Amino acid sequence: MKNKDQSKQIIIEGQASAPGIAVGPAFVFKPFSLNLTEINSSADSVASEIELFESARLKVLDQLYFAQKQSSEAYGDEFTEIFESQIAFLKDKILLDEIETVMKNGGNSAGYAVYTILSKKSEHFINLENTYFRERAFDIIDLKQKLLLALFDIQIDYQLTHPSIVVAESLSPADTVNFNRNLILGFLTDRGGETSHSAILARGLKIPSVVNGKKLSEVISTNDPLIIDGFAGTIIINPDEETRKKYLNLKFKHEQQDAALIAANPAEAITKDNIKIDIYANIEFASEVSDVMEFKADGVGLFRTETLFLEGKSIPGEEHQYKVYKKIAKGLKNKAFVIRTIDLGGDKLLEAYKDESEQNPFLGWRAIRFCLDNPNIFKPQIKAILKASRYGDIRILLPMVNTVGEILQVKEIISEVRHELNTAGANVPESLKLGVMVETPAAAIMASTLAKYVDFLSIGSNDLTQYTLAVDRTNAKIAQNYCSFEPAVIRLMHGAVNAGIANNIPVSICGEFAAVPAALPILLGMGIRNLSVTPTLIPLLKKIIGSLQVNSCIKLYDKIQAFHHASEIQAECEQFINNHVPEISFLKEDA
Amino acid sequence: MIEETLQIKNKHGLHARPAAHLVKIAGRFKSEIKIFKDGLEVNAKSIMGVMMLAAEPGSEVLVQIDGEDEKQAIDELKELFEKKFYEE
Repeated sequence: MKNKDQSKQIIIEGQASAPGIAVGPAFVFKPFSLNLTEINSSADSVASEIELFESARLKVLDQLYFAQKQSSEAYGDEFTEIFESQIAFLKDKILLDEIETVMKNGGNSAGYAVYTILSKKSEHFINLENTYFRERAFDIIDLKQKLLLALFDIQIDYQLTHPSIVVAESLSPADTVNFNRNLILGFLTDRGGETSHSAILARGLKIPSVVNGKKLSEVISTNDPLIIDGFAGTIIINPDEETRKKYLNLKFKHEQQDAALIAANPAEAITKDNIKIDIYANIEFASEVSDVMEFKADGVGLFRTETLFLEGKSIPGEEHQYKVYKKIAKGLKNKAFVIRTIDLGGDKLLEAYKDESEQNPFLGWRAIRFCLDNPNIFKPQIKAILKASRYGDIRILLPMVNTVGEILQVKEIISEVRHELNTAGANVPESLKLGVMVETPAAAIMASTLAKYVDFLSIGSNDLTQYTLAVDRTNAKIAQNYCSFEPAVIRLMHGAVNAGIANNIPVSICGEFAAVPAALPILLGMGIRNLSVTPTLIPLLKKIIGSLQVNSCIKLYDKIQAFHHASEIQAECEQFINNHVPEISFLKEDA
Repeated sequence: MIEETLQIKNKHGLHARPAAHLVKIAGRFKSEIKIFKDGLEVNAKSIMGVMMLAAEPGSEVLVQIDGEDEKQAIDELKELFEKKFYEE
């Protein structure tokens, strides 16, 4: 903290974005800035400036090769293009000549030459209309910074000297991979959400991560003692000894338990009374397929395609999507692969609507509503999925469906696309399963009707809770009202499960509720036999399921149906879990 | 000196990877190779230059080649444009 008198423990509630606990000193990452006078102040002889530039260039090339390798190991090809083009720029003889000319003519310093030429280039790109080319400006600005850092021998920015929690306003993918991964304990950023780049990267790297939603990066100083809890979202600055010990202990227990769970992870989740529960994984990257296989999931129950649409510089075309879907399908070796079509708002996808903020985005032009209005975006996705379906057990899941009409419209589009493909000789399999998310009260109430038109239902507990209770969980004043144990929410879920049973189609649940240990007994009790969760949670779920009997879960569910309060239901379920799986009881301490 | 108008036929236009292919091939020739588009003139042997064209799918560029191996260069570049920069 800026003021050392404030060395008192401060607890702040943030938003968890990647699981895990980190305890250690802060490392505040600040974007680098040097002004032009400083940059130009050191002009030496032309020959030595050229030499200085050359050594900076080689140093940055090394950094980029390293970052490219790190990124490719962690994510495959997903982010390497950034580094590839920066490397190409540094090897561009024409560009290098231009920079040298500035040094030769007028006796300017290497710093000044790099600064002027690359600023001019980035300015050119930033004024372009095409999003992809416009965003290249950031690669050039980043490259300029790297070169200037190397020229002035400034290393502090990315150099972690000891294990630290990186604190930043926000982090770009390029920033993230520039830190030594072995020295990062966690990420604490001011901005970002669960689906932001930094969060996705953190989850991919298995680094605990919390978003504070305030401006803590301006308040915290490097080496301030810090704790972040990536399960609960808690941030503790200057923790006292007791708190520190408590969290270290909790971290240790989590790590021990994770190791034990992974070691014991059975191939299948089977209850004590011998009922098989299918456990699927929620993923958003092709590179996560290895986790799906490692944790022995029954398949992918939810592939969020949003990341695919947000990470790129422009909307990915059919071919790019096809390659990603095919890669995942092949990697899953015929295990189920459920692809959810784009679940985003129009403002995120179309340049023209970028600045149009809707008054109620959650009640707005998004997901299936947006897709049906924009066949130019939706059809290529369907086409890519159909083409990829030759390589595995692919199923389509539609988000935010309310009515039978919407399902029929999608079916129309699917048969159109299938016809187009088959006419072109693509030979697409006939039997592609189609399912809908049950995430609005309308869909839950009408589940038995919707079920007649689809092959499966998937309960999205997060949105279903939010829409049923009309609670925005990001609004701190009412966040405590958001609770999936509310009888209203549970009753709607039960309705969807019954609709599935009556129509003989599977019903799964893929929201966060599916990964809450105390929720499992009532989910099994109401008849759920398919769960889809973050891959890393699969061993824990299998452990809990293996300790439960469906019969006693049904009894528990009958009992809680008579309860009037969410708190009563939750307490009863937690007690039930404590009794049946005492080993994991410490988990609720941080919940 | 040879001049020819060529069309960008690949899916995304002259993005980083297709541009890299173009630069690589242009770099094999001794001739001076320039590309013109929307009043901008760039050296085809420079990745920065080629990307600065921001050439979108369907757009056209004017290629100007001057030097001893210009005939061979235009043939190879035409083929590269025709084969969509080997993108897919």
